[in-house]
Amino acid sequence: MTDELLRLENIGCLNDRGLPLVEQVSFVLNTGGILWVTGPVGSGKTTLLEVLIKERRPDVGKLSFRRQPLWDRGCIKRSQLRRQIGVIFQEDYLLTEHTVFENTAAALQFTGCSRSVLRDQTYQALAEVGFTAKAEQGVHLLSSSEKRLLSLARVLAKMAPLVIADLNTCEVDQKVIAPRLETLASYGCGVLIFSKQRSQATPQAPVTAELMLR
Amino acid sequence: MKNGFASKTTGLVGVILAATVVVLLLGAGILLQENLHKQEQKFRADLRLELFLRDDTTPAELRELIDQVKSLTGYESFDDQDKAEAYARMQGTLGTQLLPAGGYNPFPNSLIVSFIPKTATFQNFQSAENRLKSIRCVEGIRYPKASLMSQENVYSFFGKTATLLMLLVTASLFLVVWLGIRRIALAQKEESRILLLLGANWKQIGLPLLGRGLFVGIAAAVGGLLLLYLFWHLSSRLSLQLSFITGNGIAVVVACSIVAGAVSAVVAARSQLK
Repeated sequence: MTDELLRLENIGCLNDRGLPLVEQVSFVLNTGGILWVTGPVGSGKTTLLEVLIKERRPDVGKLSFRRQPLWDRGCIKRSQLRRQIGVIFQEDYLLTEHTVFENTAAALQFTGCSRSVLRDQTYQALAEVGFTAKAEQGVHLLSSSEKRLLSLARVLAKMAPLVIADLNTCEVDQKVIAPRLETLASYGCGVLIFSKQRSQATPQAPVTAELMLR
Repeated sequence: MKNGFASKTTGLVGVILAATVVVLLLGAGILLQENLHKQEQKFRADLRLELFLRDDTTPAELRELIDQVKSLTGYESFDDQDKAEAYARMQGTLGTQLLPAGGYNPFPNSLIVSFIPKTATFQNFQSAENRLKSIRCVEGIRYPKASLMSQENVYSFFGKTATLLMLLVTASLFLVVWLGIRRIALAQKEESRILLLLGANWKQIGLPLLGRGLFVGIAAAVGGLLLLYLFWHLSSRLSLQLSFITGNGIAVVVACSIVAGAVSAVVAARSQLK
């Protein structure tokens, strides 16, 4: 059975000069669904992601998460929303003065889970990306590819109902992260992937849709 | 990680030290102002209004005068001194040679009026003089007019200057703590932004900063007051008769320091959460 996770109706955003950044974007993402949002540089992918995590208010349109509005009266709080979403940003957004373990656990620490669950889920996610041995290492020692994998580990540890990824064109994003994210759909997650183009390395998951921004 | 920790700790220690010095200055200002005030009260407590009475003053006139004296603003008590007492006192002070011979007593009967110290002002003495000098039985009125006026000017000047300086020092305290806390907040701005993206709320970002602000305020207050006590203790060896600041003064210093820390932290946290 699929439940509605995310609904966007005619979402539009303007820049400071009143020019459109995103126009008339509508889609519905259900649990277990995968949606690729593709488009060239400047087509508004990152802007749309900012709208989805309540970092930016859309100028027009309606938006809901689990049938709860994101911006209108009685809307979900920003922190509450973000606790239910696992996000891989284009930039790594890692806590540079902390260890690999602390960075991965950071995503879980606001969800209210117990210490033992936090530890177990974090180590499990680190094992999945092959970072068990690097758990106590500082993130400043990681290569850029390893930092991308750490962003993936953060999402895997959180096991959020909705996963959003703003992928780069680099190999690790397209060949490792994208296929791994698609497998999350089979566990009931809704997966939303923003990318310049759809990865060729991904297997054709059963519930996949693609939305092209211009 | 160690570098980051060291930099944050150094920043925190730096703010505390800077704030401690300003708290010390604030405490010193309050100490001097309190001692000045104490000195002024002591000076005023010693002031007396002397009313010299005519020799032919009737008991009814005296009663009326006493009633008038009792109704003066700030009246505390009066001492009735007759001319024989005045003569004897002067004899004790000057000896018999300087006083007129032949048993003649030139001193008048007098009333010596004391006022509550805080009302023993030049203005009050002057208005008392204006009111009493028209009474028939009063031959003359005496009080240290010139010295009272000059002392009042001196106390007023130093009091106003000290208040102004303390306001400046208090403003400096706020500025020093705010700049320090802002620096700490800026150093962790990126971290706060990431934590917000991961689902932290304002409490999880703002409360640790508020905790640091309060810590800075309390540590600076304790450090500043301890240093002030040390300097005060040393000053007593130099025979400076200063008393340490009162509980109210300590409360003002501690409150200023803590409020500076808390307000700075709230302002810094608000700017981070925008």
